Amino acid sequence: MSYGTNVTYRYDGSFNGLMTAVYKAISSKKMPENIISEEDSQTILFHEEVVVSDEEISSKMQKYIREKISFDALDNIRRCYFSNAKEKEMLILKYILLGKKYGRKVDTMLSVDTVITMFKVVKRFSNEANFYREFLRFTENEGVLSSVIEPENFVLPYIVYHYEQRIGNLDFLIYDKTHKVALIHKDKHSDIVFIDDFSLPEADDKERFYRELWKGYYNIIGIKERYNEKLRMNLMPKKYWKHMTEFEDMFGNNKENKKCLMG
Amino acid sequence: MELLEKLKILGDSAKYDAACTSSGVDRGGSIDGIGNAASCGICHSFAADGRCISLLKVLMTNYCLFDCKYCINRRSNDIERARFEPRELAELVINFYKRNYIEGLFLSSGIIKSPDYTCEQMIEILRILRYEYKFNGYIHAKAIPGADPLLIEKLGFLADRMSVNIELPSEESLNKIAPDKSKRNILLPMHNIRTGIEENHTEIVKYKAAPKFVPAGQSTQMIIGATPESDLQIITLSEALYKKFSLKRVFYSAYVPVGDEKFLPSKETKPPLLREHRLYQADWLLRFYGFEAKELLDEKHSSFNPLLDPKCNWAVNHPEFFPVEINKAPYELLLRIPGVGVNSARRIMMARRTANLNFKDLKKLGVVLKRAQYFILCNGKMTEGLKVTETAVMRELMSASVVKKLDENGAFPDNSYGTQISFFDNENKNLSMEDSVKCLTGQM
Ligand code: SF4
Repeated sequence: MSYGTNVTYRYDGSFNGLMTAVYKAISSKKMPENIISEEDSQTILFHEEVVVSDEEISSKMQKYIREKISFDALDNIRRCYFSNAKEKEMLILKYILLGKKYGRKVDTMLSVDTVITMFKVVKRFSNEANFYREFLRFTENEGVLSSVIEPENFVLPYIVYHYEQRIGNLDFLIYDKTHKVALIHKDKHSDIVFIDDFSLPEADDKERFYRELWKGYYNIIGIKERYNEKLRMNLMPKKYWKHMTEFEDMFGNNKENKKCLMG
Repeated sequence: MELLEKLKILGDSAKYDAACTSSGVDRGGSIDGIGNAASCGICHSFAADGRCISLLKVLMTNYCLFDCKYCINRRSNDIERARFEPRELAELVINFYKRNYIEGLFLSSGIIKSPDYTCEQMIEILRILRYEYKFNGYIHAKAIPGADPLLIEKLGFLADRMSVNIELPSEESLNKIAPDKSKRNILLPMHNIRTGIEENHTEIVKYKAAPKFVPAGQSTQMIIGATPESDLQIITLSEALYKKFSLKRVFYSAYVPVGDEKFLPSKETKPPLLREHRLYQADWLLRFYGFEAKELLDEKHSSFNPLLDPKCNWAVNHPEFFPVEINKAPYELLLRIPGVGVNSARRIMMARRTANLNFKDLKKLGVVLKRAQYFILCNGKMTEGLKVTETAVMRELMSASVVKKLDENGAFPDNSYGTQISFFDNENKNLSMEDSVKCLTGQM
């Protein structure tokens, strides 16, 4: 692979598009200066080359990664792609190049920066996906459970299976406010769709009843003699509190209480 | 009584039980039911004390015939009492579960009418959940000491995990403080559950569809600091429990005074949290690091060092094992280095197959060099420019939170250790490991 070419690839932001760009870089044996997605920058760069997403090339590339590197490597690449890591495209390309050279051994090369960075990105991503198994809360309204989340990474595809297993017999909706995407599960079937805006339905009496019960329980279960605010915040970062039932009064999500407070 | 009131009373009475996990069993969802179980366990929230909330932890009732002195629910204590109707509790669990508040139920109970009757009522709650609501989430049920073994067995086929709390670390204390309980009544169900689990395993090998008995195993809990047992006695007991009853976990619960009772610490006594923490660390060493209880403490040093975690303490007392060559040492030895955990030890094993590791690499692999540096060599060399003085070593090994806990005089303000520990003003006199640090530093 030769360096010093200053071409920048621009792809459409899809995974297939990225795989096509990677393929292009590898087959032309020229290391691009950068790979950017459509959204990254509006101004057209001088040495820019537009990569047209090609499904066939993409699946060829993925097959190559699975077989020549490893199944785990492909999983890492996908998670990295769905993450909000800066310059993730170049990281993916460099990681694949290492994999091309060393095969499945690449994931044991923990003293190489590219591998370490990849692992960190994947770890952050997986941690966040995990947090949304824990701290996500549903509101029930007319037989449908709905929830709003604000993840940094695009974790929805990675929590679908979990909620299908858990409450697959019920209808539910999870709205990712950051990426404006919703997971809709209806009649035992899930879809991921773009939705511009969504807010939770107003809580009805039954929903209020269970929320009050949960808050009541939450507030007594801590042992006073052991209160430890720092520990709580470490384990449950404050950014998640906003959409959690147990803290709704703190964030004014509880409209009724707000009314009371105001007068 | 309103449900909210009941929930507060019965949650409040259950909160001193330390077991919180929902781990140990993997079960997918079912076609017509609700819920699954993930073997890694899921915490859905953290309470103000930083403890994980995974299960709805409640008592079925806090009425109790027994009079265990350490327990807020003891018969002689004047508190408000309540009792859940089986159906009411089952419905609450389902509604909490749906909303993703919890992974399932942790059900314990005071003893009403008789141990058998109590156990039957608990079975009814679990039956409704499992058969009427087809609930596949996690259930942890407390075995009621003294209940008929057949009832305990029935409960075990409905629950994922069971626990029988050993409560106090010695029979003598148990007799004194929990006069209605006996060692036999605690160990017998523990034994039965273990046998049940083993028989069930062979059953499942034979018939795949055989119902599962306590698939997530059993656990127990000990109260720390209510009675005079030493740390050595406690971890020796834990070790025996792990071996004899194949327990999944032993939980330790720092005693929070529930009144001024004879034989028990006074109401003003603070719960010995640091001691509890040390016991958990030691427990971890027993389960995952290949340590034995007798390596960690002995008759002469029968309590853990408040200033050092048990692993560092062991390391400074065993200079003969160090320094360890990172690029050669076997896994078991890597695990014994302060600052190297199970994960980083595994990563070292992996990474050194393709590269010779230096100190910079170790940092990337997650090794806490601040601690580890005094105990390791990379390619025969130690960290460049490392100043090995006793003070430096000790300071790096003590966790910041412990250092913070000491007041200016080097004493613990809450006096949880009884004696004043002077460290900073006269560090060489009072540290029992001082000599070994010297050997250690001399060697390096
Ligand atoms: S049996 Fe003892 S420990 Fe259990 S609830 Fe009754 S008094 Fe408390």
